[in-house]
Amino acid sequence: MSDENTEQVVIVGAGPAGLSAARLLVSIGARVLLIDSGERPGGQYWRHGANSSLPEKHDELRIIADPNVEYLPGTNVWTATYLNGISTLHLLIDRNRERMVKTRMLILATGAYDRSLPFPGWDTPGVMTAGGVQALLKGQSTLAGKEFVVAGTGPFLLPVAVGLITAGAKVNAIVEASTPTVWLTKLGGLTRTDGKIGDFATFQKIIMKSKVKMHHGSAVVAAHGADSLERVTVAKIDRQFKIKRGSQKQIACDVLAVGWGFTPDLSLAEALGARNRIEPRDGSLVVDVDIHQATSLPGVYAAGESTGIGGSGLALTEGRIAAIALARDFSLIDSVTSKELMVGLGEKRRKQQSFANALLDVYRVSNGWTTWLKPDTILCRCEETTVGDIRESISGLAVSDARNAKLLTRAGMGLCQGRVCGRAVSELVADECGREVSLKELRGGAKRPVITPIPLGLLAEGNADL
Amino acid sequence: MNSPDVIVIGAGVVGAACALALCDAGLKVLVLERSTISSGTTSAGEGNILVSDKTPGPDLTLGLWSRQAWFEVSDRVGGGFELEAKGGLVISRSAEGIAKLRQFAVQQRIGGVEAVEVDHTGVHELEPHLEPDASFGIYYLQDAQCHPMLAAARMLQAVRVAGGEIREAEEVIGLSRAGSELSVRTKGGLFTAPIIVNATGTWAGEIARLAGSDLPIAPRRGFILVTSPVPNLVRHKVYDADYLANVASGEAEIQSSAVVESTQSGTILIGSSRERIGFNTSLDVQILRRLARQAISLFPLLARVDVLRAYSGFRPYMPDHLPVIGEDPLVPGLFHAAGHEGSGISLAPATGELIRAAVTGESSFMDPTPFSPARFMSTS
Amino acid sequence: MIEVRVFLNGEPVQAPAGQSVGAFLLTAGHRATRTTRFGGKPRGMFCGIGICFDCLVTIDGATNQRACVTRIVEGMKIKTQDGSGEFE
Repeated sequence: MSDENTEQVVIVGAGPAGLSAARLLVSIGARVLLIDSGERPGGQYWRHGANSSLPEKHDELRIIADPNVEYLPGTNVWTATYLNGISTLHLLIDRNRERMVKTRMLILATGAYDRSLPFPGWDTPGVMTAGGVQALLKGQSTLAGKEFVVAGTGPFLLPVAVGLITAGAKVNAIVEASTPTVWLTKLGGLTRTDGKIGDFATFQKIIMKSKVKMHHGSAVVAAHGADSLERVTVAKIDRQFKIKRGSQKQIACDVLAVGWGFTPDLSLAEALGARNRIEPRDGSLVVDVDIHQATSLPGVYAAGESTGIGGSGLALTEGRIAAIALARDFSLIDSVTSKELMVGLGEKRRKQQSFANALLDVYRVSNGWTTWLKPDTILCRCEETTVGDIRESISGLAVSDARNAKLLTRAGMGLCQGRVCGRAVSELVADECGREVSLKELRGGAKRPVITPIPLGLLAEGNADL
Repeated sequence: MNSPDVIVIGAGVVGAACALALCDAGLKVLVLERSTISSGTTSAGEGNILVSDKTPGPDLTLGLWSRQAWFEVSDRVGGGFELEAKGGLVISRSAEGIAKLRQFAVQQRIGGVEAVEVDHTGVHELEPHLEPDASFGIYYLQDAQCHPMLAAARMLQAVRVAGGEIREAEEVIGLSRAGSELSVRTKGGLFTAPIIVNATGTWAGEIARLAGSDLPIAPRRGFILVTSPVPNLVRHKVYDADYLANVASGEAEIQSSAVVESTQSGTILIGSSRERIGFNTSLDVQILRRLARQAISLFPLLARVDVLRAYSGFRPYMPDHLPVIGEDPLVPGLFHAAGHEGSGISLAPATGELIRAAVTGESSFMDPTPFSPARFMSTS
Repeated sequence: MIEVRVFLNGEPVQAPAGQSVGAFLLTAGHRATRTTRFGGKPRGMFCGIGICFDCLVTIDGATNQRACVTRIVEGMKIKTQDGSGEFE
């Protein structure tokens, strides 16, 4: 099946940014095709299960039921191309069905996923990302285990811990790399923005009441257990993330929920050829957009985490701005209406970005994590490439960049195509070579022309229309 | 490195083989690579070391010697590049195709190739998952496979250990005479040597032009599909006899035929396509669909296997389908080692050996005249 | 919550329709869904959202499927994987 109707607006991603854009477009009478890989809308931030009250709280979630929205859940864009203003998206609906969509008007809201740092034992079953533990709890009403440690850095750890505590789980520790003094220095002066500081206060209250032990300036530096997680090693770390000698101690748990911030998901933007840039505050690669949320490709806009990590509030604002810009650029609304709709939004985005940037400053990841590694620590989970393999390729085969490290050791060539290990491999290689990670290396790691695996049989059948 | 005897431009598999052969001949070798090692076509290859696709004549002579040499290279560099004498099975499923394939094999046998005719039972013993109606094939015992990037990396490491030097991020922007030597200017430096070897593959024409000469090398794009890791499905390199016609074709538009093989990592590589479309890197979904269809027609079980990634590479295409190996008649001291189309990996060690002989003025296992760069130049 | 019959490593079991295979396997006592193909090490869900491809299982004969983003449907044949699994 294929759509040559290039006049529908296509939005990829039904998290806060995509839903917000859809809501605006529907309100001005446009028809929207909303594509999302999840079974329910909401992305990561608004993940919910069947009986959740979240759709009452956020009416963006209800836009999927609007008659002007064609909503395709459980659908992946497996590849895409852009030529002369038209984006062609190849959709994988299930193992037997494909669909091609062409459009002149596209909004990318593909979000982000947990950033992972490798450490000894991180491949032990029971070690999960904070987002993964959250997804199980909120999306599947399932606790990942019995005794939890929540670790890493970032404001996201708090709602994860609180979610577990509220669900009656035993949380043995929360291990946060940043320190309260840094928090106060960077954030103390900020005025309330969307009640975000208020949220923190509520979370802190719940945690204090639960008597869960909070460790600051600390990190989980190793996980232990034969076939399944049994305990973790927590150590005090300095600002460079180097372990303070003698500070290690062990905490029992069967689930470690570890999160180190988020990595924007750029696969679709890259496949289309949209320009990217490095966000200096967290060193991540993001889609480069202007003040209208327009990418370097005419007709393609981007909003939400993929343009820079900033939380759900900012994503809502950016989604709305992208939709207004698209609507004006394609004459779905006139410039008077567009000005009216934009009132206050620019300032709101600025404030939210400012707050988000301050958070990124507080919750920094420093590359001293490479000192936690042992030679047999797995670096690439998919291909089981170890730290030792990478180091040998550098010392024994004169590997000097991340691309060659990947091609010679298979790190990043497995099923996840470097989503989990890519940045860590680049940073380890750069560290071993005594330099910073290059833009070329980060960019190279983001290119995935085949975004999602597609069965050969489906690829072969194609489509009579294609 | 002070006063190299030879500068090799290009650190792909052919450049690496040349550098190693020259090093082992006692010469001081400097390799200049514009990016990082094997960043050109070597990183887009399947790792084919074939005799099955070689035409009797200089192509086959080069190919046979080279195939054997790969095992010596492996001993020389301490292995570590997944070299495997797995054998190749060429299938034909039409009466006309079978006749042509038989005839081709007869000629190849005369040239020294071990090629065995296999019937319906035979092909399915060799490849149990091959489609049930396939009933004729030629099994080439000498076909082998390796990991091309590891091969190049290991050869280059051996060059370093033997005293050679490899410099990355040295893009050549000028090449001229400097008295009795040749001088190579890169973005960052100036290097001189009496001998230069141009092993820049698909870009060798550019280097030749910088030196005031020319080579008719053009990019011939190919796509490869890589599957997710699968349990044992394909044991040898298996391809449809149409492949041979495609290699030999000069057509610009898409030629494709089924080529399927497994790798030591468990993935399956699916090719192959050939087009003359310049250096266009954008994904062509229609070509990927063709490759998928062709592969499934050989191995029906592949239908439920997922494609994990796809990539393209640019083979260095020569109009007469033979590489150019030898001294440039217009630029004494400049030797070309390029234009191997889809056989760069297969022919690398033999190319290295012919270059060694040409540079040192010695004889070798064959007369290199068929590969001479002079064959494209009109006598003036 | 509707329960349906599925097959886990050949044995018929009841599972909640629409739940993720990953969550189901976890509650059924399978924290590991497979062993790795080189080292034979156990792996289970890591990212939980379909990014990491660690929670691989064989679903209805298709190997290397992510348990966390696959939904339970009636009659589904689920197999934990040794390495790359098996063709049926």
